[in-house]
Amino acid sequence: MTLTTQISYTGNVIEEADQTAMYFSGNPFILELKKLASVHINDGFAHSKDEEYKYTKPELFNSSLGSFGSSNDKKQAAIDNELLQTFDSKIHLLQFFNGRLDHQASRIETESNGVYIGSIHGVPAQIDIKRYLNCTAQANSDVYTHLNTAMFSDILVVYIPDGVTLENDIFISEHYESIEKISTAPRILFIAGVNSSARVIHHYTTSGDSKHSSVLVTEIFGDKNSKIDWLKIQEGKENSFAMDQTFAELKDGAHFSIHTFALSGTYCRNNLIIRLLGRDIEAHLNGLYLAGKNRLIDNHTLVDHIAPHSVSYELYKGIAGHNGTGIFNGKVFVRQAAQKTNAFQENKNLLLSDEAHMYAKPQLEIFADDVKCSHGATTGQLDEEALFYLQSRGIGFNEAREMLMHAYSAELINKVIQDPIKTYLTRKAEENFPD
Amino acid sequence: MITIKNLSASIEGKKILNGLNLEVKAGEIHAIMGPNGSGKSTLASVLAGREDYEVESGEVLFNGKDLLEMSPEERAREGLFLAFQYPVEIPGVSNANFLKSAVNEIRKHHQMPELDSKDFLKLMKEKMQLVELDKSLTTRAVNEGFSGGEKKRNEIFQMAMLNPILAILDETDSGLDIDALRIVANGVNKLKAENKAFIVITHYQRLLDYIVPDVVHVLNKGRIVKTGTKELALELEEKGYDWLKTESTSV
Repeated sequence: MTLTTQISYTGNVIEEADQTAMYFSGNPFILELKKLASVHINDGFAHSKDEEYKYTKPELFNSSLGSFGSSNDKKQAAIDNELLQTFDSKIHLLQFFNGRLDHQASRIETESNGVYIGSIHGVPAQIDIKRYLNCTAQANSDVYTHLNTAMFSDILVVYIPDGVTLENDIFISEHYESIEKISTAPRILFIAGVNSSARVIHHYTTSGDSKHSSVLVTEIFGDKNSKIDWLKIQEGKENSFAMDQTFAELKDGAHFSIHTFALSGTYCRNNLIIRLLGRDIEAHLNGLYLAGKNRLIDNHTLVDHIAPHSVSYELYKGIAGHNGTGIFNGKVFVRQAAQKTNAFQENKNLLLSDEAHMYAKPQLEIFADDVKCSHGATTGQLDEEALFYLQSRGIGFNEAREMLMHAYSAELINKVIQDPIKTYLTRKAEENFPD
Repeated sequence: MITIKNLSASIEGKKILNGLNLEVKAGEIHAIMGPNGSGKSTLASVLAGREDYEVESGEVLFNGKDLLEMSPEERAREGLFLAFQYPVEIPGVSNANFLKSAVNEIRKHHQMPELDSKDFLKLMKEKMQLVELDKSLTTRAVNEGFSGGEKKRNEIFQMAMLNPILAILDETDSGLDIDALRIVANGVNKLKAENKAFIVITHYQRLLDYIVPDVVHVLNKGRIVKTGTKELALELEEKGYDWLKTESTSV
């Protein structure tokens, strides 16, 4: 919890980083990345005095950090993934267990030539990893990104060549069973070529009673006219701590949607950074976050309009109840060159109890003069008139409340493309509605 | 059906109902008229269980049970229905889903099996015709984007679906054009039955041309100051309320 623990811990981090280097002994590029990252970590982790982590209590996360990789070798029992069972169509299934890809439980369907979905350790030479890996992360330096770089022992690489439309959705299941205090550093590198198209479902679940922490980094590259739909479902159990960094870089004409459903878990900080490098890009950021009992969920987003004629839509909705804490910080940068940008941001929050906290901060920084930008942030309670109306028709108070929360969440769930997932999310949201 | 004895209620310290007495028997239609601020809507709200109002004294027996002890949902399940003066818009909750929950909650309360989707749709179709409600409105969110007339018709439609034994219509005629008024009144008249009662709160006599009351009450300053037959409504239309105000203060 204290700064001293952090510093003493940093010592171990260096040692452990050295250990993960052995997985990349033939890869000087990655070894160099890891070395540099270790140097950054030396400066210490975030603390509450950092503006970017003001309400996030990063000390809680830091103290949850355990040994990276020590439990990775435990063999998994079959994961009972309800979401997975809702699919009746073919999917590319990648099952990670405690940070390691379980080859037996995973399967990759046939796709067009040149598509690669798998470990960095088997990546074909013609995919130029150096051009992509860590370049977005470097542009947005955050100590936990460096921590991931220092600690990853594998990288999930998805490469979709120019002109290819992926026929099957990619389903990445990350499950953590915490037997002891362990930490993991999952890393995803996703590269979509010109005119390519893909959908990804990234599902994060945990089990077990011990503290478990994850430092996740996802880097997404959408080349010209690529179309990417990315769905993140975060369902940690109690004692799960997640620091999730997602970066996307988009070029001319790219269409990118990312949905983040932070449904459960003790601690979850999502950093989502999207850089719109070209023209005619369309970016959608949707988020639903439920902060119930003993839970902290933080969404920091940054939409960076660098070039003209692009558009971004952002909608985040939160519910905080019991003693939960919800945080939304939404930055939108419109750089001087980014004329004719349209950027819309909306953040709505429900605060259901006296002990719950909700911090909302829209942050627009606009340097171009010919733009359309808007933002709105509201925090309120459930509509009492609506509650009474429902009750006056015979619907019980709790059911009426639930009905209103469903209605509130549905706006985001309905933006999900895959129908079976909508049903799943509706049910899971209900299970996690705060009191 | 319902017996209100010496009911006094206030909101934010302001006394609105002041020792009100009223008895409505099964099969009867009672009209409650009165000037602005006389307590008509407060009476409706207190009976439906709106929390903003504080009941200071009195009792209300509904079918022999203490109504004021019940939560709003219990009152509804026991057969009380309030048609709102200002129906609430609830974005994201579909009219049909909401009504299905409501119908089944009430059925459960009476130990009746829940309606499945097929039977529910059948019932809905039948009752929609009663108030000439457009089919598309049932799939839309509750009252969202409905016109004033559609909202009021939706109230009567809900009443028909929930089949209450006592319905309170709180100024259901306000904001209705003559055609909508006729449709709403027709709906009510078709639901009239031996075992049912209505309390119709209105400013104007106009509605009572269509829904003919057995008894007309005039409310002023939180109590009933005059009770009569339907002719009383005509008299009020002609003379206004002022003569009653003086009469009541002199009593």
